Amino acid sequence: MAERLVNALKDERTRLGLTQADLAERIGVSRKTINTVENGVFVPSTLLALKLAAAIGKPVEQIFWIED
Amino acid sequence: MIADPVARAEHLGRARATLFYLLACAFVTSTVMGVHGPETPVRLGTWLVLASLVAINLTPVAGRFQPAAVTRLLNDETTRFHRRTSLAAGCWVSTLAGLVIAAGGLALDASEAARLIVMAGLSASLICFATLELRAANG
Repeated sequence: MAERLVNALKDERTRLGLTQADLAERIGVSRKTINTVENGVFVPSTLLALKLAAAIGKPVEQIFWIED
Repeated sequence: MIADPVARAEHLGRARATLFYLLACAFVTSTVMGVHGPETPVRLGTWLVLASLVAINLTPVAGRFQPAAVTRLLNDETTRFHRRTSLAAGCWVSTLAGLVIAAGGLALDASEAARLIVMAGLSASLICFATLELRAANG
């Protein structure tokens, strides 16, 4: 079975009380980018993953991990 | 006018996707009419302008007339990924169109065949890009 990147972005974002637009504004991307990353449709670059983790305030490996 | 850059980019992104569908329809119509109708310099010139317009719209240049923050959001990581994907799809559709025209034995001259191949590739890219953008915005 193929490996895939999963994330806890939606859970962490809602825990902080942020909307997709709020998070998008914090890191300078469009709302659809947040939406597609949360849904697993789009695999973010390392740069974007690090920015997202920084905005959430957690290490990147607690936001993104590989699932077999 | 929407002041918030994220909201404005969202609005413009959806408008761009809708415009791309309309542009694809206009381009296909123009090309098909040009192939079946009499060849005139005006008709060929119009088609060349339209084809150039379509091609430019598939580059990041098209969104450069907005404030810098909105321009950046209209060309962010997801949009660049969608653009690459749609251009690759357009390349494959052009190849397929060329193969069909070559194998089909259609009574087309070189100019007509070239226009059909360009039309197939660019229209497929426009439709693919618009679909990916709207799906990402709505999902």
